Amino acid sequence: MPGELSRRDFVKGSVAGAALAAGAGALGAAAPTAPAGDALPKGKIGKMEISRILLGGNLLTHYTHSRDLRYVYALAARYNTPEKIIETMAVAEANGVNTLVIHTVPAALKLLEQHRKNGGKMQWIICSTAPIEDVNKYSQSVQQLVDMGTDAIYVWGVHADGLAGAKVGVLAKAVEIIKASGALCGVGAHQLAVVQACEREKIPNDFYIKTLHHHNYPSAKLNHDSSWCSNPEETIEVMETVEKPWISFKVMAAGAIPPENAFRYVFEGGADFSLAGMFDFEIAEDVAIAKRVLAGIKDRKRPWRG
Amino acid sequence: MREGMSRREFVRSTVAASAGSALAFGAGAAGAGEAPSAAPKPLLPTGKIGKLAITRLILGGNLLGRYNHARDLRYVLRLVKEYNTDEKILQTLALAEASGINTVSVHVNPSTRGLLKEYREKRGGKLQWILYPTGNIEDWAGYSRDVQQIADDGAEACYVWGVHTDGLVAKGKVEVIAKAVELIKANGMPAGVCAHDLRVIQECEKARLPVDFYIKTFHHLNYPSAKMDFDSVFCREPEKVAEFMGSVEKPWIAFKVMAAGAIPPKDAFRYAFEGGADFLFAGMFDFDIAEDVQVTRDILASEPKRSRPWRS
Repeated sequence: MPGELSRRDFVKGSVAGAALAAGAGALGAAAPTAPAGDALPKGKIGKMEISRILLGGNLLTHYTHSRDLRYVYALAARYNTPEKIIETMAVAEANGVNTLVIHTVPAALKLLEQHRKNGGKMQWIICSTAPIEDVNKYSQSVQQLVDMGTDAIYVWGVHADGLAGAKVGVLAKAVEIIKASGALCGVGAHQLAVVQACEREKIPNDFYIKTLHHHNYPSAKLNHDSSWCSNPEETIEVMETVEKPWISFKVMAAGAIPPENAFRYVFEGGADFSLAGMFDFEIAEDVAIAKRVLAGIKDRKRPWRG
Repeated sequence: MREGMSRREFVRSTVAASAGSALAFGAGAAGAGEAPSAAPKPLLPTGKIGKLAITRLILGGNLLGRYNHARDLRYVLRLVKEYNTDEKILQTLALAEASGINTVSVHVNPSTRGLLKEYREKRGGKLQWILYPTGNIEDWAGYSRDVQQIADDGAEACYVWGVHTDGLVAKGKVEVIAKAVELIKANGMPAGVCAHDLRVIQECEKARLPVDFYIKTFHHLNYPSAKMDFDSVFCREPEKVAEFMGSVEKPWIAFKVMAAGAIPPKDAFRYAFEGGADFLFAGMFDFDIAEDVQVTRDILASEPKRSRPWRS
């Protein structure tokens, strides 16, 4: 919590922010409630109660999107050893982050299981990277995720981006497979057209995971592994009409936008949750920033949908 | 180094410890190169600056000082600090030495000074030091004390920082550089002049300053973040640099040759050696050293095509 805010002030701020948000739309889900103590606020997707900041998975899988600085991949891999990743999940949990999002990297999944075996309670939202057009393989992969205890499964954005046009049936089938497994089902996307297609076709996914960041950072124009949301204003506008919960990702443009700026932009822009790739040493600060930002959100047109 | 541990044992144990960290999941996939074997490697080819025999690849200091130029990715600064702990830096120095590098260059601050002294005085390290002070060069009493301390600590060579020289030449104060060179020499060390701006070298040559060696940025511009120009370009006119340095008879150490991480070592080192540099600084993490040393050996063994004679 920031030094200038007492705990009482913080709680009051959260309640006030929540009341304003609640008034924004009758269809909205419950606005963020004043958290117990100074806990990180949560929202809901189905029956899952999810902290508004989720631990993103790329740093756990050592995928850093570090522009042309290849050494950062090696550095992240050397720093984030298996022990450090386990520690990072524990630090996140201790700071109130109760859910992480990751894709199916076998070594990383083993660490998730180990963390849970050690008593960790982190919830998992995982996407399958199995070939989506091979129904058997994709179904098997989804079943494996369910069997290992995944709490929600989503269609990988890299898959979905290519399925928004003529192949939207493949996307619908993937959602059907996931839902048939009993898991909550999300659709990931870098392209807004994916969300538009799902809405148009009334695909029954439970939530979206869609990139959102502005372009006010130096490497945005570089166009070299440095930008993931080409049309943020349009994204915000379209998502206003979407009634399903929205988890935003790449909100810091993989490290270029400071967390306060990034979190404010996405929560004011309508996101219900935000992924944040965090090293262990960033978590406490990022969570404190997120709490402060969430407590102060006033200008949000989109009702809280989760 | 533990009491009773020989230097060879120290180097072997340090290298083994560093190699062990390479076993982390995914580290191999990240392309960090093979972990070095525990046996010390032969010295890299050397050149001379004064009486000093210096390996053509020199361990650069920014990563040891935990500074890097990560464009707009601020978190990398913190990540480097978290990774390069004091112990990791000591291991990196030992690994460089065991891999065949015999010289390190770094700016002097309490942290780097303490680590260099620990490595040499307590752990038996033999790396030579090319150091530079960063205190205000126009506060002559303070600057003189800093240079004296560098000499007293046992540095083999000392140079005038590029940030200082760039500013002095821009202000037409080349005489301050001359005075600093004189001061370093009076302290018994070979004196270098460093620069990002080619005009510094040109002015020093014009004034016939008794500089013993130059340290000048040198890299091409064929990498994505060169276009961004945000803490990402350190040598704006490499062709002009190569052309002018062709006429300079003093040894030249090239630095920022990988544009702070954007140009792969194979490409960067060949470009610098073929462009005329006699030596290179390379900022390296422990996991970079084996590959960078091998690349240097291969390039030097292939007799790089250079129009500038080796000046050292």
